[in-house]
Amino acid sequence: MKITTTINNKIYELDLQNNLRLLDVLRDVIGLTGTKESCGEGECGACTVILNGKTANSCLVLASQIDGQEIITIEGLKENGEYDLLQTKFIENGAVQCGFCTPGMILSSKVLLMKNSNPSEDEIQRALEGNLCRCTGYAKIIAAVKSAATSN
Amino acid sequence: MKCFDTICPTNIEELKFALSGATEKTKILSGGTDLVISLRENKLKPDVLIDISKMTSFKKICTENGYVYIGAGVTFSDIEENSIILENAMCLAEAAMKVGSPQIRNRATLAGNLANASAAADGIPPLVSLNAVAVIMNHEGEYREANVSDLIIKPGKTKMSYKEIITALKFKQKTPEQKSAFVKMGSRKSVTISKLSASAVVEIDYDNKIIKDINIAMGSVGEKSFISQIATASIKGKRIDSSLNVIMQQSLRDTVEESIRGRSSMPYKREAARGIAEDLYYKLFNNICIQND
Amino acid sequence: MENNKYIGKTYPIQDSLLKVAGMQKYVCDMSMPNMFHAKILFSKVAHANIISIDTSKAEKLEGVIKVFTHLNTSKKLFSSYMYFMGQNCPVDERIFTDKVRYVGDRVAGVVATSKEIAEKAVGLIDVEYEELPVMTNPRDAMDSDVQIHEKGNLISENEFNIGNADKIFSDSKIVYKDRVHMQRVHHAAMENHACIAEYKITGEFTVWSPCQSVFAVRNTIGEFFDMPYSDVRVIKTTMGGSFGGKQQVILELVAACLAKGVEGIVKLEYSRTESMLSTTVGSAIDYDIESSVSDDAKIEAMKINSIIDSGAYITNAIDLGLASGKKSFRVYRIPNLNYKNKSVYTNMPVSGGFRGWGCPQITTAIELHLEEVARKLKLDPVEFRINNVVRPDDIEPLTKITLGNARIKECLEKGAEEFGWKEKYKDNGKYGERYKKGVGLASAGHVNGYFGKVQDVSSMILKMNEDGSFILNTAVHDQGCGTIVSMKEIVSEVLDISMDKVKVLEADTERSPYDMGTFSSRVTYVCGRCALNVAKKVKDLILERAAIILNKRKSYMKIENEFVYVEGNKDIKISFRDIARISQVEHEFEIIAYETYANTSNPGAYGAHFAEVEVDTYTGMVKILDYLAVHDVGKALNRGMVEGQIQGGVQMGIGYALTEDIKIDKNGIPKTKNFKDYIVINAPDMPHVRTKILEFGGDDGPFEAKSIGEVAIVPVMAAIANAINNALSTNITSFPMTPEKIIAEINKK
Repeated sequence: MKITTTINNKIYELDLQNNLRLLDVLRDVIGLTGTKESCGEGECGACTVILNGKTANSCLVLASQIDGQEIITIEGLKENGEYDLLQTKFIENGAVQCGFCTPGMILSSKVLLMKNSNPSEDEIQRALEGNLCRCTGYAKIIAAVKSAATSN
Repeated sequence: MKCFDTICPTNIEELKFALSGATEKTKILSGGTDLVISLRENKLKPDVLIDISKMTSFKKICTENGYVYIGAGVTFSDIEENSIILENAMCLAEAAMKVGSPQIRNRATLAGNLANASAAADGIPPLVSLNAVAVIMNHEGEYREANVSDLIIKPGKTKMSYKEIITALKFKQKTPEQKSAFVKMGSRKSVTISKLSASAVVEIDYDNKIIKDINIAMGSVGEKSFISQIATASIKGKRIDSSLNVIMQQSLRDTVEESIRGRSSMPYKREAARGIAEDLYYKLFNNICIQND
Repeated sequence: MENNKYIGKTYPIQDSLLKVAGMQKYVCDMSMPNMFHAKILFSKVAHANIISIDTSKAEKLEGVIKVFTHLNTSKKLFSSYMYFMGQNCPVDERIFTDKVRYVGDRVAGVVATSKEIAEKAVGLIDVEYEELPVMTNPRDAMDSDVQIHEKGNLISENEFNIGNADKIFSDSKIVYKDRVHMQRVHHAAMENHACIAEYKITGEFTVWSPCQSVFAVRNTIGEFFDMPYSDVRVIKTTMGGSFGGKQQVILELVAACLAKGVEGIVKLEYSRTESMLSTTVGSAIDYDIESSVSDDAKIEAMKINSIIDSGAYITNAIDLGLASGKKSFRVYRIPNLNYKNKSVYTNMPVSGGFRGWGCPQITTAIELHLEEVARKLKLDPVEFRINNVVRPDDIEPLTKITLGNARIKECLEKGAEEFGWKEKYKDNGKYGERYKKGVGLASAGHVNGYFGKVQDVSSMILKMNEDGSFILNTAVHDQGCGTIVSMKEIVSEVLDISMDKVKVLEADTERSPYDMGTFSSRVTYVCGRCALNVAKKVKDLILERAAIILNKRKSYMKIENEFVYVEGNKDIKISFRDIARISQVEHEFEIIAYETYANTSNPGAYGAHFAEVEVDTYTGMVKILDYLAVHDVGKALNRGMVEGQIQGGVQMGIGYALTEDIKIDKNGIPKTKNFKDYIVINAPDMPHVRTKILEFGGDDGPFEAKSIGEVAIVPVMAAIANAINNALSTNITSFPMTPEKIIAEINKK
């Protein structure tokens, strides 16, 4: 099927197989591999993208559902050559270990901060409840989000 | 995942047309959070998917003639933040907040939750406790209404033809005497499949602090959500004091015991029902409870 | 050593910018021209002979290159556990099996032009099975006539004795007994298993894999195909977590076989379900544990009898039985011990390496048992432990090796004080009718490398580039916990050079010097020490060159900030850059050093954890209110990363204690297939973990540092379980401690 979609502020006109997931479109069609697949059923959040301003598991979105929609992936967070504050704060706070969950974590945090510039610890935990990390115990990730919020 | 055709209607006429071509294998794609998993596991092999994500008329929550209407495209995120829902159906808002993760809530729809008819669906007990009705349209544009509790046959199966679609859910607006709440328990605090849930809608005589009526719909007890008659019988007419907490606990405990007697999960769920009951009690009656001496 | 410039500070992981930008390439992100994709057909039944396999439909599918089964692949057996040459490793695994032994066994493989086609083709393969009785319990399997492999189901029996436990028990008035069950767990690294294998028609392999030992992969492939190791190149890729899950050679040999079969490049990726069920699992082990305690509260004797459910293949189960037993002596002085272990085949997922390698299991058993003994004797659990723990320079009775500067006592003392143990312990069980509070603790001791078991060597090459920057060539494998940063810190500290001028290479069999691999908590302690030694050698070479150039004696020279000075006269100096250039251009001398470090010690790595929980006695849900983890790491190389390792270990341990379980029914059918049913701890359920890092030093590691990554998980399960039992006055000993088990126990009372 033919669709038009905006990914990281770039318009794509694509002719896709109907059974592709947004995750496959990003990784295999467009070549944006920052979005990761881990569970493939919406439990781990590694494939999180921002779809029309809200987070979505790209493994659960079919090609037809992105027609006319706007998508931001981890590669699209850099603006005017500068990394998003969250990206910097994740580094500074040691919130990254193996890094496989990191893109999804950052995008979930991004949407939280877009809605709520000064979230409480509980609100951060809740915003990240759909993103699993096996390395860090979340403490440094939460610290990074807090620090991005307060320095904004 | 097998290949299939996808139709993306944008209005009722196109939707009717899509439904008229539907077969037993045709599936409706709304949020996709359950459907895509089934497709991936090859549990479903549809010929056609009718993607209703472009049906903008389905994305509304409104009130009309004393009813709250929730369109088929309304997601759980929409519900948890919506003022109409927060005013009229706290149980539904609380259930919406407990569905999956933000990523899931942003995509999954209440109507989809009902159409899938999972025994553990968080959206269904609130609808049952609210005596909600599903508005169903067929391929010829004819509408019918069906009680949510009647619509579900068993997990994954509803009394709907493949040429029909849920267009909206509706329930009566709340009266000043009504109050509702939802409680759920799973393996984790959040992002968890419900092991036991309950949604209560209660009508209170505030002057006399008496319960005029109560509907407690159970979730994850047996194949489909149902209103506990035991709870209604033992709670209706009771005064709101701390003995009510004990009565509610006993009634939900008995409800579970009776409903799933013989199942291996029963002994645990029966005890956990007390916790669910007490949580409901505090949510509903904490500020109006009469203090016993 | 307090004037360190780099050591002890906090640094982000070396590739964090790539990772936050989404630009780091894991093997799943790698693609090559003419790369094929492979998919495996896994058995859906737990025990059966394969009567026939029909691959004709799959072969006819357009885009399918070749289909592999037991009929057209080698019958040669191998062990995925072999990690060094000459290792005594019984072999019982096949590339594709002719008899399936668990749900998840490899039956066939398809190589195709795309993932989708490979997946579709796998679905077109028809297999006819003759089903056999299924053994799901090692106790039943042990005595059964149903043979999973030809030589029966009992794989091995180990026993060792220290002192004479039998005699003590026959004399003692009271014997305390417990039975502890540790469940089957999934590593749950966020990156699934995957690798790429290339076979060239010249008879050479290149394999890209996020593994823990490139040399283990190389040797396994080289031996299997009987080809020179020099023709097998294995390159470690960025690893999205392992926790022991990627320790064994699970995918690489299969991918190599497929690549050889199609004479091309094959990418083999597992899904989450496949990673969970068809790689290895953290071993389910049952313990019967007995002890005798003297009137002055000293452990006199212990008997530990354990049964390891090895699953369908042996892999590490024989060694694990011994290793787990040896770890009994890391924490407590046990003068008389009788340890017995049986490893048994079942039709279950295959047991393999897991963070802590048997230590989480045996520690949990011992710590639950000691808690119960303390309760029965009405002793304070902290004091009872302190009364029995090892002290610095104690000799481990089995290996006769010193435990080094063993500071478990201090971990317990400082932890109890900081946690407020005494006050909290008094209040146990109180709170209200529905919610009960309790506290628990556990000690942990782990290893630092292999010394005492097998050889423990690491080699590195450090060279200076012409501009004064450095490349450290190693065969370390960063698993995502900052190994590379630690190595950089060590080199930078020795050479007093900025860390961004030190590049550390990871493992590549063709280019790296040899290292045993990233196992057994040996990287900081052994590889780090190797880095230290090689950096000292290069420092010496730099001073030597500077001495020649400046015409001063070497002993007058001092390195500071990338310059060499004459001590006491900062005017006479030369930059690293100039030294490197002059050395190359004028002296025609390369500043390069090589070090093989053979580790000769294995001190304990220690920690004590304290938990406070609240148990909902109606629903059985457990909430962790407070958590303190105290560890003596000798010296923290990268402080923030040490904290991160501890916090991550606690998170994994909480899941291990409360929710994580690969459930398999009596027919061997898995009920747990993905994160929907395999419940790991997410952010809202994670308590605030307080960490206290002690730095007693005193052992052989670089800057006296010791291991942390594995020991961090070891005491968690017991600390939480003890807190639950303390809250409820129960003695639940079966893991995970689910709400169902807790409610059942409350109802029993």
